[in-house]
Amino acid sequence: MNNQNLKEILIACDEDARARARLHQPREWRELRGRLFAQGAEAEEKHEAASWMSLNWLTIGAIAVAACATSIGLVFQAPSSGSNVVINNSQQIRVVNPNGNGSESANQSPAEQNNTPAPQPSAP
Amino acid sequence: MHDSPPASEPIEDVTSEQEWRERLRSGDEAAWAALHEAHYPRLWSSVNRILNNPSQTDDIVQEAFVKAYREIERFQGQSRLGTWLYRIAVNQTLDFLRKQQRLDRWLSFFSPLRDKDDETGSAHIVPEGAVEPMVAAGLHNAELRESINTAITELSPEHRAVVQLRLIDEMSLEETASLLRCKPGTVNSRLHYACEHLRRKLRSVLASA
Repeated sequence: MNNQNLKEILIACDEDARARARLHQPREWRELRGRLFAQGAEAEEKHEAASWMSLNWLTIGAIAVAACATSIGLVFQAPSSGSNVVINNSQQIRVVNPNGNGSESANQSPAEQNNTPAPQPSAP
Repeated sequence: MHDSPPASEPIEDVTSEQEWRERLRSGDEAAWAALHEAHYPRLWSSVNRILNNPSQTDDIVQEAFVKAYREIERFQGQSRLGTWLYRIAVNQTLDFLRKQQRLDRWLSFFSPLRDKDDETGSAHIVPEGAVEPMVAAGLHNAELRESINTAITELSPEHRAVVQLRLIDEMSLEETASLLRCKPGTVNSRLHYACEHLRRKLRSVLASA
């Protein structure tokens, strides 16, 4: 038996194997299609979900930063605005108290307060 | 009326190959289905001949298609689609075998007795004695095929790969050597050994018939 005979027998065996493979080819294709094409759709869905999640995290982060900034601003602004008030009040007190009017208005002088003319009725 | 080529045959026309390649690149599901239908039987048969394990063959052939899907963008069309796919599948198979052999070496290191169990392979094939040049006609085909299949499984994976690539799939000596990562001389000596083994087996089968 030479190599050619052997080859013929081997090819015949190979044909048998191919015939067997053809029988379960549709099943294998269904499985492969699930992997190749459903995988793409799944990946897109995952990507979308991930982008939504990242967006959510960004929003949460932004809100957190804004909240922190606001609270920090309040903490640092509160004493200075308080001191302003105190200073203004003390100035007002200094301005108002010498006249003994006891007025709490910072903008009106005692003279203005006393000399404010009463509204006149308009002429017919 | 123009008949389209049967789905089980690779498209012969170069233009059609190009068209097919473009469709595959664009992720056309029908084109991939046609590729699978056309080449799956041959790939399965070749891989299974080397591995001699149908369930692993299923996995490896599927992985080959997945790899082809990922790498179709890089395929420039220097060879035909079927050849390219075949190389991917054979490479996956041989990589798998190499990993298995590394694992086997580790296992045999930890349990040296295992080597003795494995010695029923090609190294211990006893020639049955010379038989006159025979004619296969006297033997039932199915029986003959069964015998040759059994004889092939007795060979080592390297020998089976050489038989499959050189004899059945008719690959060139250089390409077979390149795929198997060995010298062409090694391919020839493995082929010679494998053929001799198969011939002896057949002689014994025919003699007993």
